[in-house]
Amino acid sequence: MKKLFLLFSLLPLSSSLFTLTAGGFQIPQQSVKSMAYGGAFAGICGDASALFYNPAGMNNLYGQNFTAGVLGLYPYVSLQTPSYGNIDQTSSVYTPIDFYWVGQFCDKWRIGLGVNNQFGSAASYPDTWEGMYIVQKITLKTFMFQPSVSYQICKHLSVGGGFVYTLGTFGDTKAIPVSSNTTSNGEVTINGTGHAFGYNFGLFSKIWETGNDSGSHQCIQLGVSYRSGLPMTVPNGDVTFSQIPASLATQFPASEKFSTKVNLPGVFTAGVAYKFSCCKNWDFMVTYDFNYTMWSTYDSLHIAFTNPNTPNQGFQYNWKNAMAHRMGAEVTYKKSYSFRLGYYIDGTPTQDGYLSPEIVDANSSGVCFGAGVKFCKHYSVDLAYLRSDFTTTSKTWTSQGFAAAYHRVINIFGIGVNYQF
Amino acid sequence: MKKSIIYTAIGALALSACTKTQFSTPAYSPGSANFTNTVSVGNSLTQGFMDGGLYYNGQKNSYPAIIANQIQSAVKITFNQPMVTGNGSGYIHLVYENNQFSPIQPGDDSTAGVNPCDQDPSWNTWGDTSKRYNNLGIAGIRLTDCVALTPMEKLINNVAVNWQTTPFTGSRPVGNPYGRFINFGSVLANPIQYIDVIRKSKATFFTCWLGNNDVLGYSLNGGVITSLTVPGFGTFALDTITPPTAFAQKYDSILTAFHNMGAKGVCATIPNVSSIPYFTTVPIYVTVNGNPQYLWITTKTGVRQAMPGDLICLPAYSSVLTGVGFYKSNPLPDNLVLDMDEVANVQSSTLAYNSSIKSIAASYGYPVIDMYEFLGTLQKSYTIDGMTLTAQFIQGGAFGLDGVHPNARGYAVIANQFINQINLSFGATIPLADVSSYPGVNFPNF
Repeated sequence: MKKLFLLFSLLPLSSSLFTLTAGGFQIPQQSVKSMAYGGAFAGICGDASALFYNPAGMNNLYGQNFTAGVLGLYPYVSLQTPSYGNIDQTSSVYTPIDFYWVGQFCDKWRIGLGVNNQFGSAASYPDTWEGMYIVQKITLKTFMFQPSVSYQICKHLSVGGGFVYTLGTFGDTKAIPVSSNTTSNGEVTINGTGHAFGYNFGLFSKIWETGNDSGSHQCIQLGVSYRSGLPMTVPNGDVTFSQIPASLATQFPASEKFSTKVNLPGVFTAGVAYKFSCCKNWDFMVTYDFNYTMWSTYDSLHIAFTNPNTPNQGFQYNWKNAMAHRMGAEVTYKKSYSFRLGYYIDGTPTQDGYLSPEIVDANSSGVCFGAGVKFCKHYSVDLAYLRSDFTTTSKTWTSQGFAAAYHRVINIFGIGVNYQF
Repeated sequence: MKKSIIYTAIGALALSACTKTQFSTPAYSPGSANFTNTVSVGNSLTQGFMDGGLYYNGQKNSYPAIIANQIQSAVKITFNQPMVTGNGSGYIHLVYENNQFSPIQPGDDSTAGVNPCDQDPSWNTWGDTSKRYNNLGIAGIRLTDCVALTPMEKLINNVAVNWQTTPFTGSRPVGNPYGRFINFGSVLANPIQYIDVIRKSKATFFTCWLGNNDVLGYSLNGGVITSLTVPGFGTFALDTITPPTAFAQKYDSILTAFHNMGAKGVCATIPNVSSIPYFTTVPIYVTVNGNPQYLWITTKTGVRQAMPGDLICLPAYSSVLTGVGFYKSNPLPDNLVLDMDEVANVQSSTLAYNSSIKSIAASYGYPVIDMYEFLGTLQKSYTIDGMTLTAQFIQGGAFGLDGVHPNARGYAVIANQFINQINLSFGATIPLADVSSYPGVNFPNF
């Protein structure tokens, strides 16, 4: 046990060896409760979304547990380029959902199923804008289906894991710099569906616990988890070319097929939570998670067209692995009314010279708060709000000859319900 | 407790109202430059010559016009160009037949009935000399034509620039039709020089990109020097390379003129002509049964097979298609080939010109844009806003259909080089032109 502790305690230290830089297109808010904790959940494992954050933490739950939530993710992004004082992204609302079920069938085993959208990204710009040859509209959506199981090895240690099936859709529209007497540029839209398989693994320990009959109780929980990368292949997507001068129809036919591969990254998480209650009415909790996301798998994107005359496309992104620090706190009154606060520092995987207007990202931080109300023994509702705001200086995507300063505000509203019996 | 929830909800709504991400417009400034009367001097590149002609849509996207348009963000100025109407002089356009693209010259009505890019009827009367213009670029003008070093040269220069349909009884028109918007006086009685026009321009700011044609004319003509006989004057060599010493003297005169009127400005060096599509499109060999067969060319030292280093001019394309150059008995004529000796002449003169431009400009404190280097980059590959531009003929995206002059997109890229230099040298903050909004090659839609 002590050894395990050492391992845990080393991890946050070793993080300082890396520059503080999980951003990208991951959505760390995979349950409304965890969102209010700044995304920290591997150590607390307080509801069925533990299945996602740390499958071993499912052993922290008893009976049948259902959690479902929906987020309204509102991004606002503006750019300033060397040519224009301000350009606004045309905002699009993104509504990731999550659903988890964790069931106890005997003392030591839990099984569960989760469905969520771990990765997603959307950006849309006016049809005619300075970067239209890079992006007009881009969307990536993923649905993860993950049956999982956990087992309590001994009093202090549980282990869990699961299988992750991912269904992803990828869509991209941009202008092509070819014009005629009647058209100022061509346009290409690609849409594809892909699949990937991965796994999820975790360890969870309620390593220290003390309490007495007067209601005073303290405990420390630790969790580590690893979610594998998901190499998603999009084998046979649809391509539509439009507004193409007739003389270039050989290169850009009205429709054809494409293939690509999107490497979704693996994520390593270590978390710790401390809970205490000093009297019957008040419970307190603080928690911290460290994420290390292997974004370096997203180094490039290659689009191969079936028509040999259509030039294939290749883009270097050169992302690097990125870290995030997440912390949350909770006060609960009479076991029914919870108030939550969270904060995170999220490092961007983007590097200097590789910032694309397709995915606007930078080192960022966010504040979160939330509330939970338990109406009865079975039902509770969670609400959460998150806000993140950053402004960058002028950043380039050198290989595409594009430069801009970016200002991004994200507001996320979440509502979730829990049912337990 | 319910109250707290309500407060939380109100707080959340208040925060969601804070979604303003817009950048405030920067305070674009002219810096220490006074753009009130900005004057651009130069040749076809400056005039907005495009696709082998001077036409309205080309001219409105000349790099001086693009720069002036961007300056408007910082300070309101008037920038007049001697605009032609519609097709102007006529220009080259593309047709697509039998899976290939062919550039069609204005006047060539053989392909598809009436050529939609033929000369505009107003072209013959274009050129209002009573107005003042800010863009003084004249296609084809050499630096050597702008300033005379001797009284005789003053007359020769006037013959070169001053368009006259019937200068002498029975002779063909002489002079430069693209300079008709300037009053050059009359050859004998009152020859007015280009530099005289500059001196009277009252420029507060200038751009100077003169000198390209002092090597380009020679190059485009494959190093063949033609001559013009003017009765009563004698015979003049055309398309010669201007001697570098004369070039330096004349460049100095131009900058002295601007200096004397207290104008600030920027100068630009002469690009390397040998990598423009005009010289890189037709290969020096054809492939026969998988083997390269080098074309036979005519050089100043006789007929020989082409070697790496020789350049074949774009107009040779149709000749090669008909088999010219395949046999020693039927070589490509001298004027369609810039052989390696001629390339060397052009190179050494260009480098000498550029060194003069840099040192002379420095002596007046005028910054110089290294277009030799920048166009070298553009000719290889230059990516801007997701578009990759190269010097490949037609497909490259930066050059027009004459293989010599940039298209609007190429001019926008050049304008941005000027703007960058102006911002740097004069502490100005003029926004760059949005290259993506300027048209490239017009592809046929049938």
